[in-house]
Amino acid sequence: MDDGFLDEVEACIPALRRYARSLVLEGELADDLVQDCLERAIRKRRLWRRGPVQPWLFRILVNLFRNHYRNTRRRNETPFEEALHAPAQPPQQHDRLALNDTLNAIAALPDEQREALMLVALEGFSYAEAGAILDIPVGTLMSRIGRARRKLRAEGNGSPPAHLRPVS
Amino acid sequence: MSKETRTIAEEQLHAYVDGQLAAEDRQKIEEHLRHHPADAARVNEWQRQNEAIQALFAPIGEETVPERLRPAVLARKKTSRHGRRWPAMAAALLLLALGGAGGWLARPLFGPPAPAGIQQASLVEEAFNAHRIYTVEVLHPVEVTANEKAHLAKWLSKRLRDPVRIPTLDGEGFALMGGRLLPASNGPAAQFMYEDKNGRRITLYTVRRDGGNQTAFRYARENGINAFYWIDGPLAYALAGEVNRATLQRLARSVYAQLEE
Repeated sequence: MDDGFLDEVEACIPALRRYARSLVLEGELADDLVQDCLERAIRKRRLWRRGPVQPWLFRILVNLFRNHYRNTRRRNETPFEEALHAPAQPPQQHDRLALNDTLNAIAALPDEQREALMLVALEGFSYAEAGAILDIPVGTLMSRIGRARRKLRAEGNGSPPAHLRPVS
Repeated sequence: MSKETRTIAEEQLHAYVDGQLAAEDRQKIEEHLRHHPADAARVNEWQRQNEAIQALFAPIGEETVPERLRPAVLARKKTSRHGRRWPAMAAALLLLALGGAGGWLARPLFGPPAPAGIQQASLVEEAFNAHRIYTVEVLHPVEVTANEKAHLAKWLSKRLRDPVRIPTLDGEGFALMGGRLLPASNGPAAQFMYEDKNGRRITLYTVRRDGGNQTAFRYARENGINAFYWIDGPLAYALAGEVNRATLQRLARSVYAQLEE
């Protein structure tokens, strides 16, 4: 057991928590997802053979999200307010109401579009890296990002869709 | 402006917003935006979306990481939330690493008790049968083709009552053709088919195996078809093909690694 591996994993945790939150939106559930991901990575470290640890961890996280978490999120009524109140440093420069609209619009995106957009816009992965993490070709990735942006635009300009509880 | 150039332009605009372009291409886009206000407005909108996403979620990356997520703490934990058994997996991998001997070495060391052994025989038997029946199909080798991979995985996961993942073997020269649902002696089974550029086909057969936990890889051969099979959690797998044993073992190892990832 060399500590180098665990150190490398540890360095990725802030980014994994951030991405997990953008996927499941609720804080505790997002950390559960990260914990599952880390446990799996530590257990399967022998299967990690090449390249940097970070994309491998993201791949594990995405697969766990797809297989175990997205139904959980749909089943529960996600408290969107929590997601907005939780950040330690509330954003100052943005209009809070506009952010609420954006958050609702993000929550309404199909999972596959949110997975793609967040890897690029939040985590700053290159298109090639994001495609590899999601196991899709770059063309598919870009079309998902394009659709996500059109949808965010459509929903951001109007009132929140009827099926979402308004955030006050 | 032709339809094609407009499509390319849109992708380029996304790439510009996401910082994916080299300096030279960036300048070209900026030049383009100066003369196309509609595109400039779109780019501006997307940039504001990215800023909002950052404003919403970036602070989470600055938070103190909860104790329960510290790798040192997690590594000390003996059991996991899902209760997977690491020693059995390690044994399976070790046996694989031993090379060709792995298949039959597994039997005396990790062989299940007799009743489970009988089930195993039927698993590999059914996998061989399914392989023989469907790999010769020209018109309908699969029920759902690879371009509906997500749908295929969802459908079969539902029928097998456990998340079914479809490994990719492109790196090994085998492209996914698709898959189908099959009747097995104790419920539904799934078969995925792959083909290499010479038209050689291999199949991955998966069936629910209640009460099974983990076994090492086993090897079987019948009428020129080689197979590696194993149980992992609620599902049993068999990878079969008319390829040599070493190649098939390499493929089985890749499948196993992807299913565990």
